Amino acid sequence: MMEEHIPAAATTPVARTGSGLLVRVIRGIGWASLIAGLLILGFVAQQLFVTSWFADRNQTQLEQQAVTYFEEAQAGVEVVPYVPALSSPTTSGGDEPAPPVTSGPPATILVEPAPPVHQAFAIIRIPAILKLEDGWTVVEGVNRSDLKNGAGHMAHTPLPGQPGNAVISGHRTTYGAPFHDLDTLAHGDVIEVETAIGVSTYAVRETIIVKPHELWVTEPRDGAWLTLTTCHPKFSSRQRLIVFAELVDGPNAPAILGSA
Amino acid sequence: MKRLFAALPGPQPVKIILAVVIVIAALVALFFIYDWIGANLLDSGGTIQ
Repeated sequence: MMEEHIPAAATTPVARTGSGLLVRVIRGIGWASLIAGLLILGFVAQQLFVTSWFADRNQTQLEQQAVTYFEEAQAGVEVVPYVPALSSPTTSGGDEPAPPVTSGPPATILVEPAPPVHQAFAIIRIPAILKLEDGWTVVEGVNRSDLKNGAGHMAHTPLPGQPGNAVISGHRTTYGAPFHDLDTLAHGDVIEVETAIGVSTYAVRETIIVKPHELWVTEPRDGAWLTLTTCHPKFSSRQRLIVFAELVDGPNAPAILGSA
Repeated sequence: MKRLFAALPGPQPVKIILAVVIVIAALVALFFIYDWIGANLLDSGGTIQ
């Protein structure tokens, strides 16, 4: 009979402790999932919307800077004999290469002074891409802060419109994503780049995918080329999408195309 | 949250100011962490190097 009168208080604390722990664990998992979800949501919102908001806001200012720079740099534009070499006169450094021996008067090209690093100095327009129809400002340099503002020109390559291979990089999915639809470009599509010497027009010749370290795509080329680089695939920096475009029109096209 | 807020030192107005400062600092830190992750994994800017 004594065994039948075990007080309830002797058993329930053990049961309560067990279920209380389970509740705490479940609650903890719930909170952790909620916080993780909010952090991921915040990351997506920051990358897709906040960065683009900053880039769009900067573009308005940079476009004004570029227009002002055009006026200033035009005073420093020089007319020089065209040298059909693999390097641009603006980046050749010390020794000037000898002009080619020709029977007629030497062809000349316009050469603008090299812009300072971080300077907005060009506007790129691609009519086939809605985002770039009205233009996107190009700044000198391709470090992280440069590319947050606009597309970036690799400083050691020739300027757009000059002989050689001008390389411009841009974001694919963040910071305004100027090169988001670069993969839609087809052979012959037009790319215009406005600089202090005027508007140089390029035609797309080839689109390829390479690894991020394949520097050969930036190497000098015969004639005048524009190479656009961006991340590939979208939302990954595992590879690079490269668009090669050849100069077909512009202030320097007659001299370069006539000799290339 | 209430317990964390209560654990902050000082009277109520000081606690509120401290909480606001901590939240802003956390958001700024989060912004830089997001930026770093984005630049290294999502979209580095497409440079060749």
